[in-house]
Amino acid sequence: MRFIHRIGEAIAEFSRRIARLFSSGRHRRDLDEEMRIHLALRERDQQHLGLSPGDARFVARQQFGNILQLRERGEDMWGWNWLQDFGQDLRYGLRLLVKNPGFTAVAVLTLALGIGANTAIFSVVDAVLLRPLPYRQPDQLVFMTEDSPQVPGMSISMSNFDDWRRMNTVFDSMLPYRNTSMILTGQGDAENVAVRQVTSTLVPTLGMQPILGRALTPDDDKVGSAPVVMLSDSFWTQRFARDSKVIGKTLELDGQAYSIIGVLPNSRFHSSWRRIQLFTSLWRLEDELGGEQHRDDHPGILAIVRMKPGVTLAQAKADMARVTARLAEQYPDTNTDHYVAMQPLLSAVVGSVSTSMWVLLAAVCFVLLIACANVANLMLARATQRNREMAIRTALGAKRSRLLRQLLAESLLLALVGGAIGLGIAYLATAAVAKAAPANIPRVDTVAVDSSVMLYTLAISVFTGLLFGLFPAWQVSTTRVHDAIKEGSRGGTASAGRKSVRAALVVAEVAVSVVLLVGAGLLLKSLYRVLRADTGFEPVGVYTTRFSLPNARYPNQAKQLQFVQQIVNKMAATPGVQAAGLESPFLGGNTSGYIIEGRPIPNPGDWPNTDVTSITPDALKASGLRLIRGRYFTNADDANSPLVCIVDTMMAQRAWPGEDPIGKRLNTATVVDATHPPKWRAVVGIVSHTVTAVDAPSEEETYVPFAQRVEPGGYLVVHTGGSAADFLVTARAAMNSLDPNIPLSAVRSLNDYLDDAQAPRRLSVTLLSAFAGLALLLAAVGIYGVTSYAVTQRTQEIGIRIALGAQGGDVMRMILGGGMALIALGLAVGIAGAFSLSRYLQSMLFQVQPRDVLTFALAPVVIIVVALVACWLPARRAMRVDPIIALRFE
Amino acid sequence: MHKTEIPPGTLYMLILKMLARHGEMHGYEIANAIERISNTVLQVEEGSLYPALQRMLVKGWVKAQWGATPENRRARYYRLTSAGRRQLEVELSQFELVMGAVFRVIEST
Repeated sequence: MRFIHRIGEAIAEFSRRIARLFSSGRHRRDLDEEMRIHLALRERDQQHLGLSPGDARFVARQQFGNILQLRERGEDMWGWNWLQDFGQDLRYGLRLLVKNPGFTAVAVLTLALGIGANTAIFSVVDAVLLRPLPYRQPDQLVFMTEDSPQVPGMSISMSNFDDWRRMNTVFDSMLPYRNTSMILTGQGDAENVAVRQVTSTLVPTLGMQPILGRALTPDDDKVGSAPVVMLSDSFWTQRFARDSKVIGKTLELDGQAYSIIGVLPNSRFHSSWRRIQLFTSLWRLEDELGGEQHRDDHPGILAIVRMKPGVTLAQAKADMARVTARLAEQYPDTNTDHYVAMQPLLSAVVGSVSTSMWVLLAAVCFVLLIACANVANLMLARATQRNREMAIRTALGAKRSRLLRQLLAESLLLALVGGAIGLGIAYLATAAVAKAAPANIPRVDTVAVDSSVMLYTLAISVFTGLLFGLFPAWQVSTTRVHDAIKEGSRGGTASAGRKSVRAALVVAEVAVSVVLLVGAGLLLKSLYRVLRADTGFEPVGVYTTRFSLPNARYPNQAKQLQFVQQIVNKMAATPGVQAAGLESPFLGGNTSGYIIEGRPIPNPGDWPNTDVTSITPDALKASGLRLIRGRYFTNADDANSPLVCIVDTMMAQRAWPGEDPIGKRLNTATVVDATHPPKWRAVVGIVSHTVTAVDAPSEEETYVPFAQRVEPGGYLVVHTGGSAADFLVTARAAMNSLDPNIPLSAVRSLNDYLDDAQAPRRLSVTLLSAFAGLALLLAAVGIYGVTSYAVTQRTQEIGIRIALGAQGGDVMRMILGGGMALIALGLAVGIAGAFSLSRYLQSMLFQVQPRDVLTFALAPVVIIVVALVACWLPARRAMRVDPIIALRFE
Repeated sequence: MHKTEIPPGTLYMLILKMLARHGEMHGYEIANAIERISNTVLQVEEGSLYPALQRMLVKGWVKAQWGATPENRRARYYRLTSAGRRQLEVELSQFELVMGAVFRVIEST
């Protein structure tokens, strides 16, 4: 009761204070007036006692006390003084800044660059790494794949997934999905559409609702259920102009009619889900993929699962370890050493880029620190000029804390103006980043300056304001009145303390610049190494396009093979084409276990793996792989001839170290027992090992003749002298002459694939180099400022030296020596810092050591050159000092 | 004539007491009343009444209103609120506690 009463009182008091704040003018007038009345009454009464009017006034005043102080104490009682003072300080600060446009422009611009770069990178970090996924309770979502020591993160076998679902005790719902592409016909030209096969658990797992119609229900999950399709919002918008009558209509996909049941909201999808156009049922296909005989098939299924509330990832992992151990006991042939890999969905989405993002954020923070150091330097220089002002105000009774607050208000003002302009810079920069950033950085399309980014900008602006303002303010406000007025009369020389602070700031700037330069240098060298590294391809003039053959019209391998041979022959016969072929899949085959003839068969879980790709005879020639030994396939390598294969150098090394693989035989059929004898394939050739990304792990490749392993489609690979557009025209024409209802995917050159793989690296190298350049520029300005200031301060001394016979060279040496001593110290600190920090770049480096000698040697050279120029300009001025003028100076 | 400064911390109590006894008073009246009743022993630095009154306004112990003196001069009159009356009780009992203790210490010698 008493407690509630207290709270009531506190609230009442607070509201009185607030009310007072909004009528501060009236309250102050009230207080002034009643004090005036008091004095008048006392004066009158004193006169009644017989004092002269003058004496009466004097006595009244004396008894009353210091009116100004009393008024201030009265105001203080309301607790809003600081705010009013602050407003006053800001107004005063603003006047000062307007009066010194040069100083203001340099300081604001420096801060705007620092804060702007920082805000831009933060907005990327926020959008890509920090923002939660757009689902209900996204922390409970886990990305799941199957896993084995040989094939980490392999896709999930349907039978295994079924068992996981039945046996686990930790998941609320499990959403398996698979990407595929289907051919859409009956709507103008036939075309490929991006399809994701999902199940009825889509809604409970991700917590989204269709914006129109319904989602899949458990009935749609049954084998053989009626074909239904959900549209993505963007597909619905593009094809049906958001017509709500679309429900119940049909789409012809791969020659079969699918009825449209609903529309899913795009905004609720993250990265890779956004480009999906249609959603169909996965379990409908279980007859193709399910059942015990397919337990060893891993048909590209991945899963997102929702953990029960309160279940942690560790508990879920433990439970799934129990489940997979049971399955390994039950199915030793297929499930030995098969586990489940799980990670939070968010880290699965953003994992690949998080290191480089944090490195970039750290780099811009360094840039901001340098900007702070520069502005602090400017403030210190100006503070010297303001010594007198501060001293006089102190003498007049201003409290130190009050002066400190005023100076801080000025730096905050600078920082906030800089921050506002920086926000503008960041706004432009993020718009550019969102547009230009490679699509393989997840969620980068959602980068924007939003409220959390603005809050961040405000926070770092205030923080920088305090950072660069606190020390100069403290210095000024502690200046002793006596000294300052005395010194001030001579125009002011920097105190020893202030000078050493400025020196320390230069040392810090140089040190931070070294760190950034070394970081940028290491990444640049890595990029150079990556671009120079051998991919195994001759990628110039190689174009690809993908097609797939619909099951309805090409139901068997004979028809599929016939079609593929026809299209490849047509392409090869086109004028200008040097080689044409077909690969399925392209750039990285289907992972498969293998055994080698004449060696003991390993246990089921211990089979080594190789990527298997079906190719037509000229495909490898077309994509520019080099034949090392042996031969390419020919048309004679068909279904009736002996099984053959070509391996790459990596596979040759791994499978037959120190032996000649030609003529050796291997088996890639995965089940080998009494009823399934091995199907031995003889190695007939060795080709170069190829990679799209030299900086990523790659697999051993095995190529088999398409005729011996037919697929319903694949990638046409053509080496031609023409352009991508020419290629598309000829490919389309060839396709139309055979079957106009088969769409071709967008044409991509082999170079596109290679460039894409390096796009994130290029982006981080570009940004980090830009930040290092900015840091160097700011540091140069800082060094110039300090040296130049020192020259001004020492003009008199220099004049005397010259008058006494010092040569220009001596003066130059003196000024340069002073400047370069600081630079040397900064270099030492910076190299030590870079030495200990560079290991955080490890994962971003390629064939470059974090402590690469060349980079560590070059970065200081760059700094020394820049610093020499920055010192030389003021030193030259010092050399030309005219002793007569210098001695008269001041 | 030597005048004694009022003991620190008792100013609020004195003002509250004056207002409780006389009802509405303006600042000058409060200062005079304290001086008069204490036989001019207690001397308030008159101006310090006003910061004290401001604080009492913040705390909600008093309310202020502009009015006219009997001589028809403008003046700002203060009166107690119920919170002020309660506060007076608190201050008085604390004061008695302290003074009682002081007396006991003095008389024990």
